[in-house]
Amino acid sequence: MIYNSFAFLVCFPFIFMLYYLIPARFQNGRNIFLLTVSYLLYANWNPAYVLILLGVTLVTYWGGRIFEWKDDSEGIQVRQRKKLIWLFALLVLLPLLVFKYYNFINESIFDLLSAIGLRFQLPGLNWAIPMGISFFTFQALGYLFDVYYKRISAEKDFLTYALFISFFPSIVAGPINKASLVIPQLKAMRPYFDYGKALEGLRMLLWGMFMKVVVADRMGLYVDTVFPNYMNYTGLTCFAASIFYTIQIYADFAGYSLMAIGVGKTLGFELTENFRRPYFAVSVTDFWRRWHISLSTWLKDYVYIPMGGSRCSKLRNYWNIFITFLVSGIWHGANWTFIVWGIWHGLFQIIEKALGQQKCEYGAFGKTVKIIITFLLVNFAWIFFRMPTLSDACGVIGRILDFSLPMTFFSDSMTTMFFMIFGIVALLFKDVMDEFFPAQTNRLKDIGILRWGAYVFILSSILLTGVFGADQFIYANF
Amino acid sequence: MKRFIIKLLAFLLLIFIIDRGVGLGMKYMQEHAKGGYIGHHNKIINSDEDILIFGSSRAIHHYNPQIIKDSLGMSCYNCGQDGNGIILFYGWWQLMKDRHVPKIVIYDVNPGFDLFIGENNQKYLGWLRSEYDNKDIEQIFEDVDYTEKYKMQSMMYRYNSKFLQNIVDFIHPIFKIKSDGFLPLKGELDEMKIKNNKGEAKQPKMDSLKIELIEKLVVDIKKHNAQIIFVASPVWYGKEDVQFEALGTICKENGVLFLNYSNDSKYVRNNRYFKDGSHLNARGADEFTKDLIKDLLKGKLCQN
Repeated sequence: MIYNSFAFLVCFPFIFMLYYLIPARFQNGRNIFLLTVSYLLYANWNPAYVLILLGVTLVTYWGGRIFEWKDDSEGIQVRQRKKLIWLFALLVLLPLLVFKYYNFINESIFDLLSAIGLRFQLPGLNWAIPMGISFFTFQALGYLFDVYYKRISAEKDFLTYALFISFFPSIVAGPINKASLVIPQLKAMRPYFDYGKALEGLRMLLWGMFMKVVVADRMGLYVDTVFPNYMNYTGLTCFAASIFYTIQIYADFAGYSLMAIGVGKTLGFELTENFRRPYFAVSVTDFWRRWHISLSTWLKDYVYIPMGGSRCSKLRNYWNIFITFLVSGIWHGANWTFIVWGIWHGLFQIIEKALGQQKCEYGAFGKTVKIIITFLLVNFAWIFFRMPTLSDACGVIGRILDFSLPMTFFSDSMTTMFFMIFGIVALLFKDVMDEFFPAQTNRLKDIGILRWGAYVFILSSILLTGVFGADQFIYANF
Repeated sequence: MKRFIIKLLAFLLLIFIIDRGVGLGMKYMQEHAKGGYIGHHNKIINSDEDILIFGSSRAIHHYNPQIIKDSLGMSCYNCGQDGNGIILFYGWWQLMKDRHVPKIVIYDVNPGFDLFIGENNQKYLGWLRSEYDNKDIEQIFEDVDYTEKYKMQSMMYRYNSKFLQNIVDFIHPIFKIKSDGFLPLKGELDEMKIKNNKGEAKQPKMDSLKIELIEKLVVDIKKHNAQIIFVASPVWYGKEDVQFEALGTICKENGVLFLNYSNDSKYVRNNRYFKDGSHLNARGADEFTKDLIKDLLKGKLCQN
């Protein structure tokens, strides 16, 4: 569900009201209602792709059941379990591989063969990628691995499991929830209405909306003007566009995550925290503890640790980091730009680990310097993430580093620049307060008039300065 | 739950009151703008000139009303607006036509804004939102996006992205637009900055709404006994004629003049006349306006 859409504004109050019309004692009825809504919303985008969602759900549900059943009855051998997990993982990943990576693999093989004089190519697919496929596939796979590693027992109730996979607040772009967090909430007797949670949920929705329409989409206007025509702009302008994109992608994705978690909260659910002020990270390693936390946790639990994690030789550990971030890059998209982006992050984490620079022990000044260095490293990596090809990404970086170009800066109209600065300052203020002055922030939150003033200010800013009718969330494309 | 709903309703009531208050303030400031873009907008919808120039930034920078006035002896105002096309100009026409009808409308066509499907037509509604109360433009909002009529219930939203401009132009306009609306560009084109224009070759899809509004505008202007002339002003790269096919058909069907200078050899790739790939500089604008007048006077324009 696109939270900044008019459809959401109309639908959600109805979903909210209908959900709370069902008495708490009919827990199953509430779950069936949420499952129906989740599937209807997904079908609203593309009815045919519901089959893929259902397929992934069925495969992992039965996979989990089979693992548990085999454990209980026959005492299945380790080798058989391994074969089975590979089989199920492949089955779950199949739609993702076909829809998202088929064309990329096909074209890459064609390029490779062309280089040695062979010209052979399979026909390309021209299908839209099912919305949120990377997210629900990884969520389902995570569940299967948890059952495989015996961290949780398999869910027997199909309806509960299907709701866990398709839960509408998080299906489009995460967070990638762990079964151990969500399934117990679906099964437990939830209170009829949790006032505190619902209020917190609305606050998150409001701030998430601000991040998306006031900050992200406003930055997007500048970025989308400069990056596609970067050859026409100076290095300084390209650098500014890269900074704005760094802010855009944070405000866009963290805003989306906040809204998803907020919607979950208004319905009484806790979803996985996804962002913790990532641009205050003191190292790239630290950045990944704060950015897309649900994905980095997934990669840590199901890629990094199974490969040996850090409990192995240094070289092996470095290799594990490299592979983990290579997978992260591939997960983000079928393009060499994402792979380079992933490798960039992996390499810098290896360097930090080798130099013992993952944490910061240099005091306030040193911390500030490390935050700036990390920000710039992440910023340059985002250029690969944003540009359509590697040569375009290198072109932008080359432009930024070409100091022979005039140091002029393309500025849009004065009002547009003002709105951009306004958004950045508001976002920075909130993040600085939350990061460095949490106690004072909490005290301020207790003052009713300030709190209400903030709500009015945020909503007025959305109405007066928000960019409406803009696109999809960036991460909904993955 | 009761407490939650009461607080939510109280918040919505508070927002409603603030929304109305801000809306009234904005309306007052817009109506009393001392100049700038808001003044330009007011001038257009209250115009009483004989000739009006419609079009995007290419219109505002390419047509010198003073030359037109001196040559044709008719008053002229340049209504050009950056990044805008037929959706805005059809709206502005609706807002002005009951009060004053110009004798001639010169419409500078930019296929991206006036004919082809772009990213999002909502962006063209920006200058019309504050005029939403006018019944004549409601249908445009409905055609662009049916949800706009709901969003328009918020008075603050009607001034979305324009409120700062509103305040500045009310207190002390920073941006100076000449009294005839013309905004000449200084300087000459730096060929190093021109991008490879391969992308222009492919034929984008026509936007049925834009085409429909062009047709409606043509019919409506003729109905009001005024004349419309479509002009494609020069482009440094040149432009393929095929891009104007749909417009050519409309003009032929309605007996409307269409003058295409986009491939005029005098201008194409002539750096002296351009500021950038899409915009003439002041010298180019003066030269082009003179050429246009010459052609119009040669008999291409049926003078009233």
